[in-house]
Amino acid sequence: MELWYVVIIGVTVFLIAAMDHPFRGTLSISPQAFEIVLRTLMTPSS
Amino acid sequence: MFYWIYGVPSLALVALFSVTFVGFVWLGIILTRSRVRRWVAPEEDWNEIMGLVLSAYGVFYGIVLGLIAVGTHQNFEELDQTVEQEAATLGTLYRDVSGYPEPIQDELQAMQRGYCRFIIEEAWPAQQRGVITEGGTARVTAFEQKLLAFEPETPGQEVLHAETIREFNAFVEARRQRLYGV
Repeated sequence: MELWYVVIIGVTVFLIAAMDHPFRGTLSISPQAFEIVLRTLMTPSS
Repeated sequence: MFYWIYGVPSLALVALFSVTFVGFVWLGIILTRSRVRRWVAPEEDWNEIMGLVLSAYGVFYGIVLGLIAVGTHQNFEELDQTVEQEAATLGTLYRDVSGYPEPIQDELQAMQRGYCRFIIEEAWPAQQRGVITEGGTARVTAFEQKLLAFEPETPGQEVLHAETIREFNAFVEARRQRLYGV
């Protein structure tokens, strides 16, 4: 029981730390929206 | 009265608050321990009572942690939507510009392609390091100057130009919001 409690707290703290800087780290916002615009709209062959 | 705390560095403030509150509790325990022992009769189930007290603290801590996590997630989602909005308005602007006469149409669209590539290849890696690159603003300014220098010659072009400027303003607003999030 205590183990799960600690795991949940650890995961929550990790999520807070990972999302606190939205452009940094592996859990971050990607430039995918710009890539889609460039690939589907701005590339002449598309 | 307590405005001086805002001038203290965050880590020092965390240490100061922790030491102050823990010290206050310790002082209270030391000063009241002997009296409380005399007032309260020995109980066999003290451990159970302490377990309940600790559970209550756990609930409070869990609620605070949960609220912080929700706030952080909301901030993340809002910034994600801002990025999508900036890309979407850039795409709409590209479509609007396609209605302009040559050669300004090609020039404006080339500038937009350059901006989009710059964002993906240079600005994004930089902002992942917490750095805002200067090149983006210069590109947007150059685009704005060229767009505003255009003089519509027909009523259709006037309407299109007004809509393009409106879309450009939405794009600049979304871009600014993204930069504030870096």
